[in-house]
Amino acid sequence: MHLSILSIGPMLAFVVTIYLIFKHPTIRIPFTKKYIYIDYGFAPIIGLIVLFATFSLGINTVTRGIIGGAGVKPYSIVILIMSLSYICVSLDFTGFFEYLSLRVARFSKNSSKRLFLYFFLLTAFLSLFTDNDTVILTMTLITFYMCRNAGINPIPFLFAQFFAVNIFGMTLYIGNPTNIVAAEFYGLSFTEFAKWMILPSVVAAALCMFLIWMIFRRSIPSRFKPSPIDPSSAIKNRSGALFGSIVLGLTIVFMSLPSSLTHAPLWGIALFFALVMFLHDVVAYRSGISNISSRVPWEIVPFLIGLFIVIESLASTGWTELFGSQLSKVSWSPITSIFAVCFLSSLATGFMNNYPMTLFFVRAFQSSTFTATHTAKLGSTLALIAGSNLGANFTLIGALAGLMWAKILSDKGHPISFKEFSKYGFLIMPIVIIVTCVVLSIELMIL
Amino acid sequence: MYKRMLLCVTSATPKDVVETAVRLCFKETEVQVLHVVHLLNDFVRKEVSKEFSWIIDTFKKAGIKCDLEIVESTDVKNAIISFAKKNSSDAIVTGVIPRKGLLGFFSESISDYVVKNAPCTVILVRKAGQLA
Repeated sequence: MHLSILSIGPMLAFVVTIYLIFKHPTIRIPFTKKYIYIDYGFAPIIGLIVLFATFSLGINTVTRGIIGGAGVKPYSIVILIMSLSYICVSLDFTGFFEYLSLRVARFSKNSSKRLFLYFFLLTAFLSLFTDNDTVILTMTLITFYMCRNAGINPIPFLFAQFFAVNIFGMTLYIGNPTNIVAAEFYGLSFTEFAKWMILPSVVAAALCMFLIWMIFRRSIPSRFKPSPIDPSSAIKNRSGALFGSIVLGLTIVFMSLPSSLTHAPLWGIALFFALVMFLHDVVAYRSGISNISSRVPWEIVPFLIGLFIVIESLASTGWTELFGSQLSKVSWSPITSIFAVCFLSSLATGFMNNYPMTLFFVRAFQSSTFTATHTAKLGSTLALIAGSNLGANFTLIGALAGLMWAKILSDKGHPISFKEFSKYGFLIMPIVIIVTCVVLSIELMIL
Repeated sequence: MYKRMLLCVTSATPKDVVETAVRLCFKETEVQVLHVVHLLNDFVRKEVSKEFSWIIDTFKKAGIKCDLEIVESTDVKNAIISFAKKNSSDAIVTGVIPRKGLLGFFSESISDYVVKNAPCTVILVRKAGQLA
């Protein structure tokens, strides 16, 4: 399919959507005194309005965007992401993650080096199965409390945590919603995903931690002034924390079992455990349930559905086929495809956010013009998963969590500019990405 | 002058903002110092009380009745609006940091949202020469 004049509308809608994902402006409703806040969930809806206005939105596009096709069901991805979010939000509400952070801080005694290492490892551990926003919110605040009481500079700790979150997010299927999108499109199961991604994540994280340590080592004192910490003061609901961790653990265990044993899709398993958690919360909190539900990122539902439709319209007007044919030129072997896709996708993530980037790439992989071999396609998918996570460390707009992180730092009196963050991102990440690609290539050759 | 004032604070709130709020008060003004946290537990309550004790002391020294209110929410801007509505605040005082560059362009402005949605007067205080 070739591009035509009709292809302009979907691209315009795509660009408007990406712009609004970052900008989230407040717009006054004409002839009233009311304002609408365009948050990231609303952004693709405006994109759909642009599609409609440019006569690019057909009923088929909408249907394919929601129901899907070729084995991929966008609605199942949305259910899976929301169910996992609910379990994590509910567990976070009990104070469990803060409790873990304080306990780890206490283990470091009064050694700053140990605190740096333990916080890096704890962030890595939490980001394996919770969403990046929850980890960043919890760990950033605890780091500020710890560093203020200890009288040490929090910036090296905060950078290490932010980078660790995005690197370890690629380890497991449930580490980042973009992993789920890419894995679902290729048909990777939970265990297959882990089989391919654990080693690259561990190597990338170890290298990244070493590089961050080399950069910041002079601003981390060897010892700090200990302050009395009582980790149990962070727990709001002890039985809820225990129940929530069991539910989260069971969700991961059941999702990692082969589907021949569970006889259920991954989204079904996640939904079941989310409902169990919800019923527990209704009984345990009663009126407090609204507090938990207000923390669930409901915006993701219109955001993803809208984005699926916008991408579908790009696909139906030839954009993804054009991109797929260009990718084929560099994907003549699994290794070239890994390097090309990983670098392209991580750079694209840094400047257009990981969600639209991942969706655009996977649709390009599905197009008939992407003529790579089966192994090269697998390599491209794995590289895309790595790129969508690692690219978020290039700039603060690579992932929505980046803007939130920058906002917390500013509110805590440590503002960081886009330029300053990118300076570290572009210094560290190209090396980390090269090593990740090398590990992925070796895996693909051996396994 | 205002009867019930809401002062929104973060760790980055400069002394200028608090001093301006003190100047806007009279003896009968009730000031509520609001800080929004992601999760409110005993640990956070203790840390936040310690962190903002200087603000409470500043008001008390000026002879103004003042309380620290810690609200739990993941949506700071709406938490401020809801709190102002619930407590029938006459005025919301908040600091503002004009940001420049790409991040400034994309950063969400809580003060801008508060100005557009508040049920009462909003006073934005910018520290002289402050630009992040």
